[in-house]
Amino acid sequence: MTKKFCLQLEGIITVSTIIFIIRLHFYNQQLFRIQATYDNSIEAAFATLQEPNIPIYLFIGFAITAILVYFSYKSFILADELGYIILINILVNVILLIFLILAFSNPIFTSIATVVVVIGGIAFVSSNS
Amino acid sequence: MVENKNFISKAYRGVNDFFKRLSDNPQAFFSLALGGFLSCYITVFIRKEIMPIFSQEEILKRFVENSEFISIGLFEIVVFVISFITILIAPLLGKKDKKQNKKVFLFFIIAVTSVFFIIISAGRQRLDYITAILILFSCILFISILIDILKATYQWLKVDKKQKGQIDIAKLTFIWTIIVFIIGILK
Repeated sequence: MTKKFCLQLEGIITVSTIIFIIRLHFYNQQLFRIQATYDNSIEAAFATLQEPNIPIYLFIGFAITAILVYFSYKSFILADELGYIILINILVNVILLIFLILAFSNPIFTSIATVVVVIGGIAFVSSNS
Repeated sequence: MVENKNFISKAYRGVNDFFKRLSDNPQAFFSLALGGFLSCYITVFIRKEIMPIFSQEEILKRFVENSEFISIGLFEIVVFVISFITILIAPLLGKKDKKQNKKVFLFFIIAVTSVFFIIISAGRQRLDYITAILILFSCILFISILIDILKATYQWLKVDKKQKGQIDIAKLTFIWTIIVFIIGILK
């Protein structure tokens, strides 16, 4: 892996992540509109999860998270060989990761966490009784 | 033009090598086939057994209204998000010197993600293609790892590693004990 290739790959990853974050932002607006019709937060979470496109967004988000982390780890290791300018990849990746998590956290991850905790609680209660 | 031709020949050679390696070891085909069958059973099991537990919305609502411990705040959500991302990332940063280590790490990542997607699909009341594909891949990797374990066990059983035949009786007895123990648990 040469230095030029490493930086080009970082550029491709950055552009695709920014496109994904912008799309996720507009999808979030749609989800907020659905959530506003419910009073109870747990009902709103279950209603949010019925949206058909959520698994695709989740899967792409996980894949991008994994790629960002792995690539910054790889460039941290390769920095000795290829020169320390590669460390700029880590900075860019961390900023992108923070924005991605912020965009993911509010409607999607909140509702999924609610549903997972509720399902776990139901399984716990029904196993005890 | 020369570079282009060179690239095409390189790509052709790479694909050819890949198929040659694939046809040399039947482990890939075995794990593909057995993993496919296993994933079929698992998806049917999820549809028939796990999903109906959470299907009645009345039961869900009753539990939510009555039980006191299900009250979710910001703290739980933040902890959930951080722990999930950490468990996804952790195997990426481990040491991956051998090929089998890589396979185990990949299996761990895909298995965790597929369990997560199974819970989501239980909440959604329908099984998506992404969940089914994740289950399929995790099954294939699981079978492949099992075959690796089998091979390693057979190599360990031999008295002399290079020659054929000659299996150590004490080690064989040890393995028989483990098999009997597992059968006793399953019965």
